[in-house]
Amino acid sequence: MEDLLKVPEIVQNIASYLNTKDYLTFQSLNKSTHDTHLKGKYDDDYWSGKLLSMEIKRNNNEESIDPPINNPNNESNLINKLFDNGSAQSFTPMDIFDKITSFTPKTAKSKYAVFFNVFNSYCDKLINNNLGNFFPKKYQSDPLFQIKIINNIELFNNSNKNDYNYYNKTKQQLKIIRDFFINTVLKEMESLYQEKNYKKIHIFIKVLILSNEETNALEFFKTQNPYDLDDLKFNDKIWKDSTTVFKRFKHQNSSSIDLVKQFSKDNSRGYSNSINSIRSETNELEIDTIKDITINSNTDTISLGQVNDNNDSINNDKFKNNEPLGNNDNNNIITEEIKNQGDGNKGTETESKNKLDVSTLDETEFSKENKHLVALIENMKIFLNEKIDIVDTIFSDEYPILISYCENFIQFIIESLRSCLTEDDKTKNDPSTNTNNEKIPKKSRNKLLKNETESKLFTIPIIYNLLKNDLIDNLKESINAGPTFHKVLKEFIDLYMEPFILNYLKLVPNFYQEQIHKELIKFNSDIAKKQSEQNKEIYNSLKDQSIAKQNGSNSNSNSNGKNDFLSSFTNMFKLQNSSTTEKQKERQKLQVDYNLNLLNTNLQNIKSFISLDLIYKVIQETKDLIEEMSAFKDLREVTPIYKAECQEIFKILITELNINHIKPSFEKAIGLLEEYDTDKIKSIEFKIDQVETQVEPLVKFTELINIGDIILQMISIFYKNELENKKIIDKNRDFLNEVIQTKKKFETMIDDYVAEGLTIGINKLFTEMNFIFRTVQLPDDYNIRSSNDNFAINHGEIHPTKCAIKVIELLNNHCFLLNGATDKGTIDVYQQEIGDRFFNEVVKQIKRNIISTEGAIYLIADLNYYYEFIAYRLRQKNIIPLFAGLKNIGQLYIVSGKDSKELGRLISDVGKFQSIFSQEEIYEFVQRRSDWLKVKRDVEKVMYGLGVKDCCIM
Amino acid sequence: MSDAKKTQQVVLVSGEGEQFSVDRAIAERSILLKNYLNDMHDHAASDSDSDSDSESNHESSTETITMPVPNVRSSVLGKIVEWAEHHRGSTFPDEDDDDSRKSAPVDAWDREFLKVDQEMLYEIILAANYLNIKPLLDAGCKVVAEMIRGRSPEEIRRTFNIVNDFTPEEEAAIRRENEWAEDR
Repeated sequence: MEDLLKVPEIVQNIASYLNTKDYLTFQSLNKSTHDTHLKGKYDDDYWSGKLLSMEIKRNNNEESIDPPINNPNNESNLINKLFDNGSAQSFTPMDIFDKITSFTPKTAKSKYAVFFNVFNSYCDKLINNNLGNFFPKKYQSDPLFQIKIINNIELFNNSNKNDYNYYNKTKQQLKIIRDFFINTVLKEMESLYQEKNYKKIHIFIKVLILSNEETNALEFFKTQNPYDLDDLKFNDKIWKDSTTVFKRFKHQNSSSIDLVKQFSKDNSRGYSNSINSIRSETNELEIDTIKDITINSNTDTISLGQVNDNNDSINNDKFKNNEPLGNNDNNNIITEEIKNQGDGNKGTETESKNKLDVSTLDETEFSKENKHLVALIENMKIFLNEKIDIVDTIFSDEYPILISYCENFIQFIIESLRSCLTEDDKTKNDPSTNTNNEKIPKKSRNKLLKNETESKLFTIPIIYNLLKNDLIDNLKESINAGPTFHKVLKEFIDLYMEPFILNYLKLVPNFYQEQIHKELIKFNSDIAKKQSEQNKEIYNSLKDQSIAKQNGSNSNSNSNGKNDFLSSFTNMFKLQNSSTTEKQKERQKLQVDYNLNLLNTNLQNIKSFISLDLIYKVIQETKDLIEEMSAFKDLREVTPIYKAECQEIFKILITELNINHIKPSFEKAIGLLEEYDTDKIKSIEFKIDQVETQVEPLVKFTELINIGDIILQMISIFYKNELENKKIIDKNRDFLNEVIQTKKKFETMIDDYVAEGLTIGINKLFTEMNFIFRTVQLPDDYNIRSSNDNFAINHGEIHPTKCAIKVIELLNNHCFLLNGATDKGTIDVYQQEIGDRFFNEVVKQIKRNIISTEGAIYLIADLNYYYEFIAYRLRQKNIIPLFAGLKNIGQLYIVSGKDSKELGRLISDVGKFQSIFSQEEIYEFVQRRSDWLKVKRDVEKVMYGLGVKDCCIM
Repeated sequence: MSDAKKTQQVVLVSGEGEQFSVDRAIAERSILLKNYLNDMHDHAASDSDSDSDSESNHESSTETITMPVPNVRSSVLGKIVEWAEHHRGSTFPDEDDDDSRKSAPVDAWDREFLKVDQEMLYEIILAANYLNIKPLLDAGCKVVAEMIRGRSPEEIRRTFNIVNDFTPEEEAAIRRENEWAEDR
């Protein structure tokens, strides 16, 4: 052994396997071990190693009091001093690690000695399995102290690794103590929890956390606060009363009427609302008229609400009750107007309203309709708020548990929702549970079930909103969960709801298409039925009218209401086209009033082919749907799908409206226009005036154009508000997008129909005009034989002929139908076309007549009358010169036959006719003079320099 | 070359001149021998052109190398060869990882192997230290440490035949110095 002890490496190697006491013993075997091998750096390293393993930091800067290295006395003095002056006693097993946190190589031994002094007795007890009264009496009642002691012993024990067996056994024993301790704590907590002594539990929770038993703490809380309670589960009941899109679709027939009722009920509110909304968008000038309209429509609506309860049957009854036809019309129109105004409101207020719509529907209304769902959410809220309080008391901010607990809770409720959505099918599929199923053929039953599940999916947006807004936002703040509590929970809801949401979004377009298709088809078949009935009614109403006439009664009261509507109808669109001036509008209002005076005799109600009411409803439904879907727009994963599905829905909306409503309606209307035969109609129509100054189908068709324009505007507003403003579509980037293409195609299609209809309409108009020219224009209108006959001239009264007045009346009735209904370009084309053709008609008419010098004054009067209309009413700049030219043509006839040379000069002066007519044409005109044969020679002489008679050859 | 190395035989010659023929891999358990074999012998082999003495190495790498270990007695060298043969395939904790070396308990076979008389144990430890066979040295030291554990200096001195060369005064001073670690 002596040899062994001479080799420092071996001595140090042996020493490294010795724990404190044995090391000290080994050191003091003889001088070589004590003074050489285990001295200085090695010794320092030995003690430093122990402290380092206890996670005490080494500080290489020497401390101030530094005993000489080779003086054992000094060192022992230092340690003994430490104990003698009692400073060692000031360290307790709980706080020593807080008080001694660093050492230097030179102080390592003395510092370790302090630790050793504090903890060694515990280690010895553990090693000797002497566990009774393990903790000194003064700590026995304090679990916090106890757990700290346990933790610190464990830390200290790390320094015993030189003696690995000792270290290991201590560790194991300590674990036994710890487990026993934790079990006791948990039991204690349980009984405290029964007593709701949350404050005291807080201490134990701290113990568990100090002991790194957080999961145990969490488990404890979860067992004590189970959330898998039946009254927190989603169950079947919620579908029995929930307001869903599905339900809305199912009860759509009543919904529009509800709207009307609501409008009339909330009279004052609706009134002020619409005023405000209009005020915000239009200029002040228009407000007064709007105000009047609104009041009118309100009063009318009240009666409407009473009468117009359910579409067909009641209306038909009304017919049979000999109500004037117009009244029914009136009501319909007003309904539409209200709708439109409603739409106007929506348009301006969408932004603010949108967000409120789903989440904060009329509180009471909503909760009444979703009684179970609201109650369920309320239950959840109460439950969670109670838990939040408990968690904040017993966990405080020491260990975050609440978020994990809430996540589990959310998982649970979402899981219950899932099983509720799917399991229900299973039970119903099972024939044993429902005997009724036997009666339904299997195929249709499956379809039914499929629809049922799908319809349940349509509650997802509502549930989602309720959970996120009603539930989460109404939870208390929590210390335990921190400031991001609500945000985190919302993220959880997003996360766990995502599969449902995706499913929902996937189903929506199909479902939507089905519904909207059904709705439109139903309307079409209703219209067909209605029309066949109406054909019968026409006969009756004609009879009624004749009776009414015989009674000398006048339908003034009816027409007034209608005029009010129609003027407002026109004005309404001006709101959107607000380019027209006030003056124009006044005139147009008058014009429309006048135009529609004879509306009562309408038979071909083309307009009813397209139901604005229906379209408005469909668009409203679409908007609601998109709003519901918009609940999901901020979900990162879902957003692109949400956008795609919204676009899809928009496309469906347009396509369905187009194919199943607008296209057939326009085609039918155009068909009717084409079939329209003035003569035939006149033969059966009851006439007040002898000559019609209105081409009825054209008037009606322009109304259709109006409606077409409203539809386009509604679609436009919808597109802007729902798709652009909500950033579903980016108009700058997606200009090639299918949605925009579809929209454009739709617009083009309506434009095409409008153009086609107008072309036909204009044709019909000129057929009518022709009719007037041929029937009303008397042969002697312009061909008065002698001045004696001319009563008018003698009396100094020269008026346009009756024919001219009729013609202008006819034009006046039709030229301005489109004003405000469509864009200026279309109107210009329409009016110019009419002007142009009118000009040709007048030319033909002049050429058809013989004009005497005395009669010329009437022709001039007529031509002036035409010119005035063209120049001051129609005001199409391209057309005015034509009629100015015509005015000059009149002069051809007033020149006396005696002045035939003068006449010739007049003809030669081409500039006089403003290049409208060629000389040949003027020559043709002049031939219509009654004295042409007399003046011909002189005229030709002037024109050609010589007359025919001057030709020697002849 | 490395394959050849493994099968290469090394003849270890004890202090008494006894020869122990072992695989080179066995010999290389000793870091001392390993370094020697690598540095000296292989170097010589590569320089064989200029060194006519080691011409023979050139012909076959499997030729035996003679390696004198004069500081180790035959009986001890025999024990060490036995130990190395046993641990032919063993892997030992990383040399530099003090913690795992310290915490690993003494291998059961090693414990049996080291149940020898004290003189032999010391000689094995010394030889392991000299030949730099760390695992064996550690095992030996652990066994010695176990013999020391829980005993008083007197008892240990008696067991290991250590002469107490402290004066009584010095001894008292040491006792005072270590007082803090005594049971109180």
